[in-house]
Amino acid sequence: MQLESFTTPARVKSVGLGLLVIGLIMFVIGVLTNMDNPARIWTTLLATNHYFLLVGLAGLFFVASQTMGYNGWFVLIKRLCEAMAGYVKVGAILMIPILLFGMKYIYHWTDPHAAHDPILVGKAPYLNYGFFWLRSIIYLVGWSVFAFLIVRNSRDHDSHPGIKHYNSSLVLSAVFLLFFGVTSSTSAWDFLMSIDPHWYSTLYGWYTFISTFVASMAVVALMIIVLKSFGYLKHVTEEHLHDVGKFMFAFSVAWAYLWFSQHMLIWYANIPEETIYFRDRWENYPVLFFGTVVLNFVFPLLVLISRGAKRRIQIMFVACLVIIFGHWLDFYMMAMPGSMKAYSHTLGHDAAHHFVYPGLGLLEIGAFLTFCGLFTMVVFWELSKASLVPVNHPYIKESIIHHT
Amino acid sequence: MYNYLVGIYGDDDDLIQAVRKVKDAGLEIHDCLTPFPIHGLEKAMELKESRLHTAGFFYGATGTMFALFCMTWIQTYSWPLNVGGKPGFALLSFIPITFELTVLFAAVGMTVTYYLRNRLSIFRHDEVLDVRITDHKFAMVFDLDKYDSEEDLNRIKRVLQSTKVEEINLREMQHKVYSAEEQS
Amino acid sequence: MSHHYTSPIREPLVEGNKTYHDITDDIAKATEGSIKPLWLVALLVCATIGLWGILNILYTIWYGIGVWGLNKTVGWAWDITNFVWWIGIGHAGTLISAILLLFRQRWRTGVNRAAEAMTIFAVMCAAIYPGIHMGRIWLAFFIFPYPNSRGPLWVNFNSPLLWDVFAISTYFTVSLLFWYTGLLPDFATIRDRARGLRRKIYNVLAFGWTGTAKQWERFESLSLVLAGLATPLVLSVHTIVSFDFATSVIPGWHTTIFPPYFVAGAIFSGFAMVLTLMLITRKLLNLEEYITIGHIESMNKVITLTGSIVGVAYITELFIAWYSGVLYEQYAFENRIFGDYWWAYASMMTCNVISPQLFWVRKLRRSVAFTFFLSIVINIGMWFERFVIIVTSLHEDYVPSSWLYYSPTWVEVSIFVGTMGIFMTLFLLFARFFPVIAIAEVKSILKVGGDQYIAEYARQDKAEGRGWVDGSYGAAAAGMASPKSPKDADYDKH
Repeated sequence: MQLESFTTPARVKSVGLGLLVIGLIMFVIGVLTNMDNPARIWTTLLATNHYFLLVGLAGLFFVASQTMGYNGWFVLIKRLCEAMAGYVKVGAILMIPILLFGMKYIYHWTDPHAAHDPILVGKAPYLNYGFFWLRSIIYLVGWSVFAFLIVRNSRDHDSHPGIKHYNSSLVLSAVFLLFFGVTSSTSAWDFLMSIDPHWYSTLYGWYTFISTFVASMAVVALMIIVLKSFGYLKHVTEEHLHDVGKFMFAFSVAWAYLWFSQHMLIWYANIPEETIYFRDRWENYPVLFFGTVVLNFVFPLLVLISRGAKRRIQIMFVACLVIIFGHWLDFYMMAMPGSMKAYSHTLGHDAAHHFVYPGLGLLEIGAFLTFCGLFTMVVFWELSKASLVPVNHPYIKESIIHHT
Repeated sequence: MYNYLVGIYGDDDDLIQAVRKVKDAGLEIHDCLTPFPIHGLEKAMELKESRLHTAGFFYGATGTMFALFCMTWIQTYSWPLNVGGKPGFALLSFIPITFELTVLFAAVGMTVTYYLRNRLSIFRHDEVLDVRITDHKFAMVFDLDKYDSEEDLNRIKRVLQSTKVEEINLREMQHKVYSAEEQS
Repeated sequence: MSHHYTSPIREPLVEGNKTYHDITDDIAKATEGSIKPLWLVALLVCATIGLWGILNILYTIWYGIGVWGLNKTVGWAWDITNFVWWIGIGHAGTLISAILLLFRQRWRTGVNRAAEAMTIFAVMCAAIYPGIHMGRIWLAFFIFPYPNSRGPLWVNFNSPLLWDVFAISTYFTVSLLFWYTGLLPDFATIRDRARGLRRKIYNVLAFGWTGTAKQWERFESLSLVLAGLATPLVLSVHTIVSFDFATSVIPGWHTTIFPPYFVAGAIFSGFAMVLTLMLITRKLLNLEEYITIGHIESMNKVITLTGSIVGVAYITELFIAWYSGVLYEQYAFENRIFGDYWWAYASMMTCNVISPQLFWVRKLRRSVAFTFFLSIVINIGMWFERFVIIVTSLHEDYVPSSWLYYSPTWVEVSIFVGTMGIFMTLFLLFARFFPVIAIAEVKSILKVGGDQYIAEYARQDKAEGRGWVDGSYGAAAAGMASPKSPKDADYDKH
């Protein structure tokens, strides 16, 4: 085994840049045509940025969990996940202006009228500016620091043969998983669930996490396909792609399981305070809301169920794109309906009654493409900082001879 | 009475190498019997890939359809009953049972198919080629009713002796040993 | 051979320089020879306890469930608690066999057979409770949808209790098929060591297995698909059990996190029970080289993981109860912590959340005695979890005048203890007549998990100049000079 250095191919760079530029143009047009609805702009930004931040973070989670599970097969694709973790700091930095300027448009509980809302008054000890910012900083800084430490430790290992760095990776992973186990739930309550501040669901945190985890697996598969097509990763075979495909399939089902559990239990118990969340989505976003189930469950279920499909590059490529878009749509569906509902109420009684809920427009698609481009560029830039093969990892040989 | 030649090996890797050699020599292997599954053996023997999982998919799909059809028919047509104001066709409520029956049909269907296709049954005779095969020996079997001449026999022995074979035994069986082909 | 390889830093899964024949001998031996007095005594004791339970079940059926301590608000208590507890224990087998197969954890081969057996026995114990709670058990067939002369009046497909009927019968059937099919080759192994009637019996049990290439090829295919099916199935079972509560509008029950949280709890308690049983079995049947300290450590890690997930779920529930602003929800949790049953809540928190965190200490999770102790603590804790959820949410309902304190009667206690007797009786019979470790599966991992092979891979890697070989397990086993660190202390015996 030898170090495999990587420089981002020009075509990948131009695709990343192209997505970024085209997305940005669409987004700016979207902003200019929606100046009257700042809530829509800021909520789009929040949902999209948070989504890509968590996809990067899920890459880190994957590395940590596989390290703790003593898995050997994933070592050859470890650097791809670590590169995704490199995006966490970018997403974290972008989160700050979005919250700073957009918070008062996104979160209804920041409204001065909230002081007259008995439910929100009850939640005020948790949902208030000071505590919210404190928690946000803990998440964003904590995640970035863990990403930095874990990735640095792994890269240092390349120049230091021995067991020391491997042992440190176990400790770092364990501590990160503890931190992540708590913050993945609480951050979901803060950044997304509090957009519908009257509503609550205990499952919400895990549901959000699974959504980004599937997407991060799709990103890994996509990166394998792209890198292989440029002649990199010569030890990575269809066996590895198959394994990533299994994760995509299994966690698509897991996502559907949590989607169903949350939806069915609330539908079944039929408590108005809870069903309102789904009613808002059924009535105002019927196509998009149920569309997420088609994209994120029905499609991967039917397409990826066979062993052959998970080993076919073309099928996997399409499935990855669908999943990445589908779960972004899921995030959009978590954030936008609540924000738009609150916004419509600020328009006065009559206008709220006739309010037309905005669907996917230039603004949303533009934001999605912009972040796709940014994510691509950052991740490939991170990838070029270290060898693609972690040569000194004690399981590297297991990963190379890996077969099903 | 059926006659077989049994080449006994002491290691799984030796067996796979031997299978490749015997195949190259153009001999027809009746079957290989081993104490545990060996990865790559089915490829070396050039067996057809199992279609059991495809059958499983169709069994499962049958279960899905059956469950959805029955529940819909019962709750909307046969005897509609209003419990807690839930609609007759309550798809969300149907999902758990639909899932269970999908799994049940797929699992039972596949297992029954598996037993039938491999002729496994409680009435099966207990005559075996060599009792050590379920312990630590790996057997390559040749059908001597097919290779019945002295010349063939010597040829098989010659080829086997060029591999890491431990013993070459001639075995007369009361019951037929089905070939890998016949089991496919 | 080049295609076998394991990183020498891994601990072996089979110790003692075993050959294929040794594996057969060591595991099949337990089913052969004369019956040991210790086993017979244990069987008699367990069977007596089981019989006592059966007598109490008959007593309940004869007089009706009035002989239990149920009251106006607490309409089900120990029966449903025990039901959920047993079903939860019944999750580890399928989890070890199916999910760990998909996650490529090879250590499952040492414990999967016994864990699957345990699953089946635990589900049998669980199924007793809903049956006897019906009161008129002779009408139990009413729960199945079949064309009848009462209208036909069908069962209610909107009821989670009916979903349970389907989930548990499917789970039982599929677990049984999975387990039994896996047993065929091992029964054949025992058959081929036996003579006379014994040989005939084991041939029937083995369905005439011979180990042909096609049998094995389809066997692998079947195992993989069944594992793929069993994975969501095992999740669905406890999910549907949780729906029994979560679909209601009872404060403390209606919460969306219940499905995954119940599943995590089930795995948690299942692993604890596997450890309790396997630590005894490995000692009595001398299987320490197959169920190694490494196996125990791996299981303890799963316990810590699932215990932490359960802990996060407890905290989430508690927080969201406050955050929801719903008075009843808030009171339900206040009542759990400070109410009449505070002792149950405190036991649950201590046993399930705090105690598994002790396994962060390497020395403790590699200690057999401590693991055994903690596995029992967790079994108790998980029983209390179900008791807390069920009884504290019920005993103080919306009408304060009907608030009552529930205590079980001796009949309920006897039935619970009795099911433990039944469970242990079945397990003892299994351990005597069935191979408790999957013989063929252990053989198939010998070349990647055997200590002599790992030592060999260490020599190869050392020759290729890999830095991390020094101080690894393989280096120690291969007798190379390796720097000693406290971490390597347990490898010294090799």
